[in-house]
Amino acid sequence: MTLIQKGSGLGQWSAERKAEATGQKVATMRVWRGDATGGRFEEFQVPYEDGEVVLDILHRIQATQASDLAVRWNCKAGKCGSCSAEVNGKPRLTCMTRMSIFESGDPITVNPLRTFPVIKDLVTDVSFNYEVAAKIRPLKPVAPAGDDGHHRMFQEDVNRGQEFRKCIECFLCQNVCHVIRDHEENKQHFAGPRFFIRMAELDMHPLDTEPNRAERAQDDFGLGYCNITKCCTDVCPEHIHITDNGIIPMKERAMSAKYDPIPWIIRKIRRR
Amino acid sequence: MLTEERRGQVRTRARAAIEQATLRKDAWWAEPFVSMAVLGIFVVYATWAAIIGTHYYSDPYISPLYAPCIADRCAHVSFHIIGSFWRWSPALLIILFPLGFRTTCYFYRRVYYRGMGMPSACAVREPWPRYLGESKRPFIVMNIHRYFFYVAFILALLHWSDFVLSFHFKAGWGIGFGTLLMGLDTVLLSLYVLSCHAGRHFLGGHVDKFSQAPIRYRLWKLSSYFNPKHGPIAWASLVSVMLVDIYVRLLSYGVFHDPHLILLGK
Repeated sequence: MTLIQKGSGLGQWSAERKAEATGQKVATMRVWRGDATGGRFEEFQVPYEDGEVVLDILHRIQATQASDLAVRWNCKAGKCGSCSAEVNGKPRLTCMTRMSIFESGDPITVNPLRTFPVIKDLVTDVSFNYEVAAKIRPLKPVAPAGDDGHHRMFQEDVNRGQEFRKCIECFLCQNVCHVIRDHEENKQHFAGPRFFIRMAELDMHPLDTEPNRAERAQDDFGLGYCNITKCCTDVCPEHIHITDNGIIPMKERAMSAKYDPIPWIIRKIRRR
Repeated sequence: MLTEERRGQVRTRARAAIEQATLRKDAWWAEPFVSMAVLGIFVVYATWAAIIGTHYYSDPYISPLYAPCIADRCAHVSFHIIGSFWRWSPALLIILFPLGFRTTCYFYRRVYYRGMGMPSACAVREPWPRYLGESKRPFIVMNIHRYFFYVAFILALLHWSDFVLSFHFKAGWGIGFGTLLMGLDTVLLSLYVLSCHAGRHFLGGHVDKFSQAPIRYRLWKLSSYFNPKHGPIAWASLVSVMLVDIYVRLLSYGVFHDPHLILLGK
């Protein structure tokens, strides 16, 4: 790890002394700085208070020590999914990661999402995800049953989809998924967990008439690459059960459509 | 909004140049290590216990590794299906099914894939240069899980009959310590099957409109209640199978006698 010591100037020394005098804590932050041509970790000593989150500290670095530090953020409330990064090696929303969870005095490492191309510092180009999203066929609803032109659904029919609708598209699941994190070449064949729950949401939708979504998930979007190690579920800030409720049900549906003769026989009998 | 021209300027293909396989500071290696150790102990023990072919029955208890016993040479025959020509351990006739069910189980897949470094832990780089997952051979065969589920469902029902028989001693009906162990094992095995992902799909997960399939919806909800605990249940049932086998084996060797907690007589 290449480190550059920052905060050795008089201004920073004063900030540390001031922090000590006021009883504030000081964090040692190792932040990755660079772009597509290369980069390194730079170290900052930053005062912080109880209740602050990692994004607060990054903003403090920006305000006091490195005004050119690039950080993407928006709502600071865990709902926009913009401030995704890796803190101490774990994919997290920096706005929802409290400083109090770290051991006092231990350096805290912050680096950009490792699965996507870096633009600058902590900002990555996540357009891969939008390209995949564009390939998924949208909802194709049945004609409304009533004369008033409205669709009507029962709550039990949409419960499963509503869980997936909580997704804030922070792409932490996409980032942690080893299929594309460790194998760039798989991006050609693999949509990733965020989009498997999108496909599951549509396939389980009571009004959707688009056929063969599960087969397409298997054949065109690489559902079979997933080996259910559940990292996507582990990092989801919305606590969506991505694997258990989305990916595995889609695997089972693809299995029914492609390999299992029993559902095929049942369908044949019903048609008669 | 980014124009295509501007978009072209910011788009790059290179990831952040970070050499380390992981920057995690916690003991991420502990979970796969312990999991694989427990799994390894079970595999070695179960292989030995299934091959040895003796001391798997002590009236009225039968080891779950041998149940249902379907060969004529069984110490306690559940069904006469295989004739006396079968000279080997009767466990070998049946163990393929629970073994296959566990091997292809979504939870155990996670455990041993992590043990194989695919990946060892989240955000820890894989050592493998190429990865195809379950899209190609050999791991595409994991999709066979639901067939094992169908058999495991029947086996779980048969376990209940063995449990009922464990109340029936030579001296009459009663409850021994082994009855309690077999009861615990039967309940855990049943919950393991009920919480199975393939079972959840079979019971109701395949339905798009639950409002039009109320029975399947209730069954799906029942399975969904236990499904989040599938992992802990899988571990518990694995240990209980081994415990009951050890208990029956020790009784059979005469190491100690089964304490009868209640004996009602004939």
